[in-house]
Parts: sequence; C-alpha cells; structure tokens
Amino acid sequence: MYKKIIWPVIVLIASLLALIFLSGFVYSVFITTGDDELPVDEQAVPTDDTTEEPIAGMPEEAIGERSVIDPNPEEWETVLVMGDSLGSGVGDEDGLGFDQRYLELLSQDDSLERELTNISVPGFVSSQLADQLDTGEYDLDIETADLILISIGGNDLNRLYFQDNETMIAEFDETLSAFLSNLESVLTTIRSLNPEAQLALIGLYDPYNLEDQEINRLLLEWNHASRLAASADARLAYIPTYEAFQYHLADYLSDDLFHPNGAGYQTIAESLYQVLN
Amino acid sequence: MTALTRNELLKMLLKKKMLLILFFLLIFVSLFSYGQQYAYERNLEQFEAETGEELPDWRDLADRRLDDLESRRANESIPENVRTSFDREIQQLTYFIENDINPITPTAFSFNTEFAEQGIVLFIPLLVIILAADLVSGEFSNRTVKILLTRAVPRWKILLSKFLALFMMTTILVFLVAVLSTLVSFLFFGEWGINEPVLTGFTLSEGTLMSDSTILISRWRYTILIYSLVWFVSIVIASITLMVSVLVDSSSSAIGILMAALIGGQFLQFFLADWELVQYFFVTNLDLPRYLTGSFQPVEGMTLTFSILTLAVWAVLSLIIGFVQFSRRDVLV
Repeated sequence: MYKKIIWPVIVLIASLLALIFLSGFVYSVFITTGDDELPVDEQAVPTDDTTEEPIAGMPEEAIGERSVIDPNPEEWETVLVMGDSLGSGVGDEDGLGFDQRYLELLSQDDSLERELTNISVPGFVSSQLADQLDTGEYDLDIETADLILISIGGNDLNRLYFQDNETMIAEFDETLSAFLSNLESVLTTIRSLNPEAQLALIGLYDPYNLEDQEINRLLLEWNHASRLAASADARLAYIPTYEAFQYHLADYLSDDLFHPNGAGYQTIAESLYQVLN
Repeated sequence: MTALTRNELLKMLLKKKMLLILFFLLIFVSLFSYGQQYAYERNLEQFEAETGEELPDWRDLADRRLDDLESRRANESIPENVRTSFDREIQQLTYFIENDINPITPTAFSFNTEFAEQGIVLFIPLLVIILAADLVSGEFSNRTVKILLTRAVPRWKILLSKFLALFMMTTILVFLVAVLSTLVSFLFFGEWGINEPVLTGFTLSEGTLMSDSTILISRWRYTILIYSLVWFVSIVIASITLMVSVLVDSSSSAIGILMAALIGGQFLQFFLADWELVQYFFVTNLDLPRYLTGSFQPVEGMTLTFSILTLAVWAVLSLIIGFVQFSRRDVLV
C-alpha cells in the first residue's frame, strides 16, 4: 500500500518543486544580470550611505597666513554649499545643516536677505565632486556665489576605515594624494569661474573616537594636508572641527553615530562664524 | 524505465537515510534558531546594561531615517539612480513602520534564507552526499550489483534511473530544508515575516557592486529565489557524488573524497585566493546566494552567471564520466 502510493506522490511533488525551483533560478539569474548592459553613470555611484563621510577637522596650528583680504560678511548675498552629506545636513533633527545654521548666525548681525543654494550629494567622494563641477551644470551657481562652503573628503577617508590596519596605512598615501589633486581640481574650477568669492573648507572630525593612535595620526595628517592645500588660496578658509568634536562626540553625533546632530552642526556653524566674521 | 526509476526510488526510501538526514536537519535548525534568538536577546540586554537606558524606540529611529531620506531625495542635484535607491529604502522603511515590525526582529522567513546562505557551502552539500554517496558504490559493496545487471536492460538505463531517483529525492530534500527551517524557527521567534520587503538584484559593474539596479521583493519570493539556487547547487553536488560513487568501490571512500573536496576547497579559496584556477573549482562557486544578498567582495570575473556556468560544466562532465565509466566497468564482484 505504502509503496503504491509513495511513488506517484513523490514524482508529482518532485516535478512540481523542480518547476518552481527552475523558474526561481532563472529569475535570480535574470535580476542579477538584467541591467548589466545599462551604461553606468559614473558620477552617480554613491553607495547607499552607510559608507558615508565625515571625520573632521584639525585645530591646533594657529590660523596662519591667510586672510590678507578681510572677508566682508555684509556683502555675501549668495551662498553655495557643495560636497557630501555633511553639506546636506544629514543627521540634523531640524534638517538645517551647518549652512542654514550659519546663515542664522549671520542674520543676527544684519538684516540682509541671503540666497542659499545647496548642491551637496550625500555619499560623494572628492572625485565625484570634481566630476560634478566638471559637468558645467553648476557654473552659473558658482559664478554668482559670494560665499562657497565645501565639505568633502570624509567619504574618501572613511572608505579606508573598513580595511585592516596594514592595508589602510598602505593605501592612505594614495587616497590622500588622490584627494588633494581632486581638491585642487575643484578649487581651480571654482576659481576659474569666480576669482572673488570667499571659500571655506570644512575639516574632518573623528566620528569613531578611536583609541588607535595610528588612525588618529592619519586623520590629523589628512587634515594637515588639506589645511596646507587650503592655505594656497588667500580667500579660502579652513574650518577646523576635529577639536570641537573630540571631547563631545556623544553630544554632537546623531543616532547613526556618524553624522553630526543639530548641536554638532551648530558647532560647525559657530566655527564658521568665528573664522569668517 | 519508469519501473526502474520507481525501483531505485523505493530502494532509497527503504534505506531510511532520509530519516537520518531529517534528524540531522532538525538538530541543526533548532540549534541555530535557538542560538539566534539567544544572541538577539543578549544584544538587547547588553545594550541596556551598557547605556543604562531602555532601547530607543525603533520607530523614532526609523521615522528620523525616513525624514532624512525624504529630504535628501528632494535634493535636486541628486542623480536619478541614487534617488530611486532612496525610494526603495523609503518603501522598505514605510512597510516596517506601517506594519509595526521592528526591522531587526528575527523572523522565520529571514531565518530560512539565512540558514540556506550559511549552509550552502558545507551543510546542505553534506546532506546531499549522504543521500547519494552509496547509490552505486553501495551496490558493489553489498554485491547486489550482479543482480541489478543481470536484468535485460542496458547499463546506462540503470544509471539513468538512479540519477532520476536521486534528482527527485534531492529536490524534495531542498524543499524539506526550507520547510523545516521555517517551521522550527517560527517556534522560536514567533514571527513569520512573510511579506517583509527585501532588497535584492545587485549587479556588478566594472568590479563594483551596484545598488541602483536593486529591486524590492517580498520575503517569501526571496526565499523561493534563494532555495532555487540551493536546489541548483544540490543537483550539481548530486551529479558529482554520483560520479564518485561510480568510480570508487565503497560508500565510505565516496563520502570521504567528497568531504575532502568540500573542505579542501574552502581552504584553497582562503589561501590561494589570487590563483585564477581556483575560480574554476566547483567548491569555490557553491555560494550562489551571496550574489543575491549583495554581501560579497567582488572578485574579478566572478558573477552569478560565471558561477552557474562553472557548476553546470562540472555537473555535465561528472555525469558523462559517470555514465561512460559505469558502462565500461568490469563487474567482478
């Protein structure tokens, strides 16, 4: 009895299952290869975000040679923000970001109506920012801006954090020099369109509060190098954030433990105010 | 032919190996689900102990993330394909919020895919090997092969009937793995999670994992996809096992050879990762589900299509060798 029933039952079930599995199998192949031929928009590859950016700034050396020309906040009518998720205010409970918070600080001094344009894209690395400017799409924004705030580099550096120590140190120099040349290209593009605008580059802070001396050293080295690069332009201010965040990580980081929260953005805005005004 | 296949199938069933396999499965699945449940609870406890606070309500976090995504999405300078990947995450989050499910809660349907992902390189092949290793070699060691071959049927038909029976049993085995892991883990987690949206469909482009081609599908569909891959892998392993079973005289050496290949293959993959030939070894290509989850380090030239083709070539070659060898072999027992 058992033998008689089991045979047709097994054949039936097995063929049915085989059919289902076969179609599922074909579908899996289809979805993982379906888009292969689509052209990939290079500039648009930013990953979903967890791998994003920040690490910020560096303090100690005194604010050196720069500002031969005094900045005139009263004359800044048009402000442009570019860069990564820090520029777009990711993590800020009020959705303001350091740009709007800075403008608020400015508006306490005068009643000027300022226009703010934000072209930051979360997840951007320096090469993507350089490409973004190269498209020429934002030339007009750059030409008309009086103040340009740039936040970039965090994602470049953060990518290294996911590797083990040795690879990281080996790749650090390469990443840093790639970053510096991208930064130079960004600055050249901006200056060729607008030699007059005041620029500000936001430094990186350390969102991980690492005890690892080596990594800390690399971050400081990164900030130091970008600061040196910034000093080549008299109207480019470097805004340190490293110190401000160093002892206040818990207060200044948002729930993702990577981006600043409102208070963190406020601190960056205040540093901007201190340096520029 | 039907009669032969039926005969083989009944022989497999009568050996009660299926029961042994189910027993193994039951033990492993229970252990793993218990372990996962335990780890989940431990994590929560540890969080509370460390921070001294209650776990922040996940809904707050999800809401904030949602706001964040939406404001980013509204940014005009974001490229179109990034926007669509935001859209998918928004959709996913909205589902969890609307249905009041904490995304990190373990569910039966997330467990069954996880079990398949973990088991596909070693555990599931092992089950298939237990099932298949003595198909032919067992006939030799029991000396029943004489009786089998005295029938007036060509030898290839006998082997084919064995293969067909094995094919059916393997298919059913994969189904049982899916059913058991779902049911048992449901006992532990108490959540089905059958309709949760899952992100899949990652593609490789110029060596980088692309997330902008991804699609959202529901858990049960995703489970079917993963188990389809498991099924394919199992059939390939079954074919290779059948060949080894034809080549050696005893079932224990068949099992030994295959286990050595599986475990040795893992080592090869680890130590000789840069050696290009390793890519063409079947063990290296077993882990197909990782291509769906997107959780893999892109290796030059390794894609789902490549792995599937490699495995298919192994299976076909094994079958050819098996059939040729079985037809030619002198039967001296």
